[in-house]
Amino acid sequence: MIRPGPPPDPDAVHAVARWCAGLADALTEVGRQLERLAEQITHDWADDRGRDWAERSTLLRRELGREAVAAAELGEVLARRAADDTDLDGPVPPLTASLGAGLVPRYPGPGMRLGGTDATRVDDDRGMRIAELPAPGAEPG
Amino acid sequence: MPPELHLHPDRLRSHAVMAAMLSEDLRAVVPGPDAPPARDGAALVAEQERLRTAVLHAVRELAELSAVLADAAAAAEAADGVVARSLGRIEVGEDPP
Repeated sequence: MIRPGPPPDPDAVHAVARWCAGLADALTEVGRQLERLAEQITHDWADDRGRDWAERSTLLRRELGREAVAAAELGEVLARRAADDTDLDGPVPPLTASLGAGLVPRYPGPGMRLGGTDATRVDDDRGMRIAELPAPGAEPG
Repeated sequence: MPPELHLHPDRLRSHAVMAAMLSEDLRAVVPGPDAPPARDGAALVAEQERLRTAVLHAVRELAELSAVLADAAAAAEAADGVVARSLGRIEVGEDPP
């Protein structure tokens, strides 16, 4: 029989959430500066090697941007879990499963998502879906 | 004419310093709290470790960028020195090498 582990300490979850938020900020800021640096390298190192490194820097900047989004989302999820003090053992969202395809995943969380008081628009893919008839001639399924 | 002559050593060196600073900035945020134990803690630990690995990759990439920029600056400076010496010889009437 698999016995569940001890309940996680909300303070520890908060600490990881804060780390994720700080990491997201750092990645965003470094990414911004790296973007400027890549432009300067393009200008000041105008040969094949310089162009290669400028391109490599641009790719790295994009990667930092994606990881900043992933870190921020993980931090938000953890902060919400710790604040709600519910289901701290729930599944960690598959934050980066589709990042390679350039998609930004959103962790839906359990149940229907309600609007908060911070005037932030919530995901609109959580509501009820109205059944539609398939297009004429379309294959069923 | 050496290809390094059209480069600006001072600017490249400045960019090398900037890349090194960015690398250090990222390195500073890598250590953090470990994920708390939980029934599903393995997934949290895995995601946190994945983030750390990605950041460390960026740290290495920026450090490498800094090193190649410093090398390019040194090469450009050496090329400038060769030209300066040649011009000096011309000014005193010697044949340049």
